[in-house]
Amino acid sequence: MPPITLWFLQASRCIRIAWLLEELHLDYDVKFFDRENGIAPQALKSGSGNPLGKAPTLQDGPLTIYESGAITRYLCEKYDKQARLIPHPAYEVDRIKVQQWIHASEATFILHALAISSARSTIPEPGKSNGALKEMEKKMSGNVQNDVDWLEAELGQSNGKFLLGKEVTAADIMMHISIVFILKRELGTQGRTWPKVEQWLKDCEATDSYKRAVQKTGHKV
Amino acid sequence: MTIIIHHLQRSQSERIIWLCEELGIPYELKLYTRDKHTLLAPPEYKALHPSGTAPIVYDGPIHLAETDAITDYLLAKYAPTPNALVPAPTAPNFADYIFWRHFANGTLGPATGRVMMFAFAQVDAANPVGLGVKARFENAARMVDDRLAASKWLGGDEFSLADLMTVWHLTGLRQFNPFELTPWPHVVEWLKRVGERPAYRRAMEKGDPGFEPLLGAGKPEAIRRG
Repeated sequence: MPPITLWFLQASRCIRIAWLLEELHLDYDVKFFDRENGIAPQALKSGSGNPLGKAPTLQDGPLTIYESGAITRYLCEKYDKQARLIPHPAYEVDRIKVQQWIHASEATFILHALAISSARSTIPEPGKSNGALKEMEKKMSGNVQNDVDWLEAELGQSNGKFLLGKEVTAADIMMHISIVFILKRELGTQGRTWPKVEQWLKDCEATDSYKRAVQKTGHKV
Repeated sequence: MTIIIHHLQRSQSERIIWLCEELGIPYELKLYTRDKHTLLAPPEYKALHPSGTAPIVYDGPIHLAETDAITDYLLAKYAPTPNALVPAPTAPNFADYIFWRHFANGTLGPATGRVMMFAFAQVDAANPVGLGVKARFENAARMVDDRLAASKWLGGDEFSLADLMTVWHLTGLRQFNPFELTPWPHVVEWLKRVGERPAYRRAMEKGDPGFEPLLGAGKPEAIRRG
């Protein structure tokens, strides 16, 4: 039995960790949970050893690790002997870039988009029909668009299909689902499209490692 | 039969090419590129010798690693001392020459290498062992600078093997952990003189074509992934 177990919630950011595990060619078990009424079931909340009951949670032998960014860093430091996914410290500029994307995927992209998602799911009814929600979304869209414009520009500067050039790094792995979340649910997009971003999503999803991750977990959005 | 220098690009094996250029020892050159992720030698280089590290030289059936072993071997067989790079024991500067020739790989190299390894391991700047490592390097570098304030070349008035062995640690090695040479101005002046040597230029051109030798005082650009 593999020492690594991934606690996985359907249609969530857990796919990042499955993709990372596949990139590292690691053996792992998936504890899969479907959503119940859109949210995580009690069994996930109480079973994973994560005090917040969130996924992804990773178990590696006696260790329990949560927070996508922390799991990513842990797995790369421990298993990425080739320093492919987070660059070796000698490649200081590239390493900083990857760290920035790992953090931005949550603290910038998800942060700005989630505000819109939360407004949609929590605003009391008058706010929906009287146009208040629409106005709020428009105001919050500025940040999201700024963020995705930045991603589009960075992809334009890259000398390959992925954020750091011709090969996948932890930057793509963390960022991909954040962007899927934003574009699919139109969180702040206000009808705009970003061609390089869309191509990059396709390129991420065309990798063998991503495909294996989807197959193994049954992930769908 | 000519010797083969197996040169790992962006590495200290540049010194063996340079040695042969200075002394007119004929050689065949084979070039190898570092793994772009790990920075280490590729598998085909590691397969050349159990040590798996540069430089590696083949002389027919004799396969040698270890810079100083290779150097002593090549001098003994193809450029017996005293020669253009190595003074006779009777020379007035012999003791100086011998000290600086061994200081290069015995003290300066390990000291610089340790600083680099601590940087790779991202050891916190305040770590007491790290501070000790930094101090030892700075002491070694200052010794070199003080010597070059008083002497044109490390061994004395003439360029020697002592200079040849020292250059890498303060030039090429800096692409892996960039730092300035401005605290050591006499080293900077000495490197200008090194850069004027035709044998040095030929060696660098042949071993690392297109790579600008890191002879300047400024912080060099770090090595980039392919």
